[in-house]
Amino acid sequence: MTDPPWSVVLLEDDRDTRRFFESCVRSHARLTLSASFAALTPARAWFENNTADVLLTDLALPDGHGLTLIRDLAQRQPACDILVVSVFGDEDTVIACVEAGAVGYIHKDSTPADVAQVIVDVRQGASPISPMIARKLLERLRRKPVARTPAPTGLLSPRESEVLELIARGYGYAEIARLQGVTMHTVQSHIKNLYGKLAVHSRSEAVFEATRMGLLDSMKPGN
Amino acid sequence: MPARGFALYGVLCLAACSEAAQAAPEGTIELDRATFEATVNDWPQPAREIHLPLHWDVVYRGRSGTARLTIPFPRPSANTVDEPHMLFIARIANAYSVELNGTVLATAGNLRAHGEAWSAKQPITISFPADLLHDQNELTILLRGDAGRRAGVAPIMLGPSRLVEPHYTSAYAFRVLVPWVATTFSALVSAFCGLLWLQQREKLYAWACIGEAVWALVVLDITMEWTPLRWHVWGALLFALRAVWVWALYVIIEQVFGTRPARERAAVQGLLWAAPFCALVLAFTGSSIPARLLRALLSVLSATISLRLTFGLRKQATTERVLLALGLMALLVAGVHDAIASQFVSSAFGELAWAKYVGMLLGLTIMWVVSKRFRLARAEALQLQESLAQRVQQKERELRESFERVSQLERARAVTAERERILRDMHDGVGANLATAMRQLEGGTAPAAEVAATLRESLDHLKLSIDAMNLPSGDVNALLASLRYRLERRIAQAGLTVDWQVDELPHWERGTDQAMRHLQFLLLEAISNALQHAQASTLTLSARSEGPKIEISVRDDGCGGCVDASTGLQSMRERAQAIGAQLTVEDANPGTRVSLTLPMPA
Repeated sequence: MTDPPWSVVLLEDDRDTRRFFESCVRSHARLTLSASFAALTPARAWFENNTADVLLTDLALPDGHGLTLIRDLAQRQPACDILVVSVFGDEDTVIACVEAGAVGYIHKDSTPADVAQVIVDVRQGASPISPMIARKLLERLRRKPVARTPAPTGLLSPRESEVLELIARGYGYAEIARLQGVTMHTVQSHIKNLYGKLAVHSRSEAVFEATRMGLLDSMKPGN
Repeated sequence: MPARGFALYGVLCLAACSEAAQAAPEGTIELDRATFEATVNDWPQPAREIHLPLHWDVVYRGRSGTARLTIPFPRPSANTVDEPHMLFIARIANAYSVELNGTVLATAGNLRAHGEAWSAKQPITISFPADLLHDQNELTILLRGDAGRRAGVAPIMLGPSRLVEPHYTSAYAFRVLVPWVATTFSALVSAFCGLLWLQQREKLYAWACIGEAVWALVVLDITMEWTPLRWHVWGALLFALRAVWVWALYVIIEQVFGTRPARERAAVQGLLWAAPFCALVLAFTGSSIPARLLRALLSVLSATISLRLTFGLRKQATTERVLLALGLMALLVAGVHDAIASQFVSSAFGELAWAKYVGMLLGLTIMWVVSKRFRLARAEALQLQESLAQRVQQKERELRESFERVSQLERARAVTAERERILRDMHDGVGANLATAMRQLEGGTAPAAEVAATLRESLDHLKLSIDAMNLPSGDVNALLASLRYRLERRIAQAGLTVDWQVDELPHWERGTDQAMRHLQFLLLEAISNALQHAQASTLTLSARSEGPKIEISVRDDGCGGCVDASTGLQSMRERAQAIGAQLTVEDANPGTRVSLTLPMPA
């Protein structure tokens, strides 16, 4: 363990929850708490001059929505893994965050050990996912080969697709690894890759939409 | 319009009276004295001197016969040998033969065939060479007179063609062209009313159309040289048609003046019903007595009605009433005049009947009345249409509103149902857990870990409830996966490992939102039982589709025999029944197996 600990920034307006997460981070040897905020603005200001390995953020904040910071940070500091604090981990919220650039979520009611473990897993290349999210992703990625959009099905390798399907059916990482004859780490990294692709895809889709509407014509070379 | 109408009346009345007696011009002679020898009903009558015109119906009323008229005359003063000469007779009927000094100049019709088609109603001219004339001449006319057919001879004009011809032209204009104009006019009015009737089935239009059509035919008859039928039949037909015309006029009067008194109506109807019989008598026996009697009665009745209507104007005078009353009065006057002229006054033979002009006036009035009615009716129809459109709009609006209300109610009902469901879930799930946690805390004896476990369970319930709201209907795979995901930690904490054997399952057709909730609770109960009571090490959950069914089983390898004691069993059975599933709880030795078979439609 010669690597320096991963720096974590916390953004959570509820004082008790914030303290809980702070203690979770502090109690893990591989993590260090760089900063902790209760509102969006100071957090945004901090990221102007600093970097972190992990951002743990709530969504409903007193001075704005966490999604704006996620979108911003995913563009400017792609090395920073963003995790969203969610009470229910419901699929719509999580997928919206993933599309904005988050790599996963943490349940508010997780045990301290779980919280730290999720953060470490994420740094090591995994991403949390639930069967409901997997189902939703499958649905979304299969549904729309809209004309001329970058084919979303191309986002999924056959192996990734298989992993998603098994997760959607309720199988755990270990079971999937056994079924596919690969390591659990490989299975986990599929998910993180997939999240990344989804964020890129959602951005490229936005670009595509913009092109279609003629917004980017003036930016083309030769114009 | 009324002012113009009156002006037209004036002009036409003047025209009607314009044929004044014309003196024979210089160079021509008028022959109006004749020796008249008639044979009536095969009985020769004594010869006698008469003045022309000869009006057969006046001399031998209701009888037919033949006659020879001998007219001696001197050489006309302006006679020159090299100039063509001409005879002009304004009217000579019915069949005739004209001889001058023994030379036949013209014949028309059959002198012996009484009642034949030949009718001879137009003025004639007969040209002849001047050298036929001597110092003393004799013009002989052989004549056939049919009863009631206005037979006779008008005064004869004789002279050089250039002098006589203008008289003929003017007589032709008045006696032929004017009736044709009147006929055409009536036919046009009739067509106009007929067209209106095609658009709006109004009694007034129909009778105006019929009346004017009949009138056109009756006026046309004035100029017909031959009739389409034999005289008795044709005369009877004309007579019957006149009755139709009277009825049409009466209907129009009722439309304009309102319903007439019942007695008057009955009188008119009675007389008109008698018309066909009179016509039949006329057609088959040739007797015109009933017809003439009927005509006289009708005339009296018409006069009475016209006068009553005219006097009635004092009470309520509208333009159309005034015009119609005036037309009727004019018709009355013309009718009296014509009747006297044609029936009683011998000298009036060949004069023009006034009725045709008055008929035109009446036609104008009728057209005006009809077009005014049509305008009014059209305006009414437009208004009706507009109000109808408004009503349709109104109804549409009401329908929309009521639909809106119904769908609001429907939404409200759905919201209420959903609320009730959530409340029940909270009551059974989270509420029960929270109450338990509360009791544990208040009792003060339960260790913190136990309270925490209860609260976690409560949170799990809450998450499951939220999952259930998002579960796609009929997707049993999703339901099972969410159940495992939410309960994973509890299962792990209970020290159990999960053996997950879930196949890809078909869509569960009966899996409504409600059914999915029941299934979720049922499985949750089964798993909770295994966690709490079984003291097992492995929890096996398998799901596969077997033919038309989905089979799900929850099995633990614990002590078994503890499910019966569970309070949840009753609830599980109820839920299984609610979704039509078959529930089996059995000893798996070791442990307990809860099996559930979901029915699938064939």
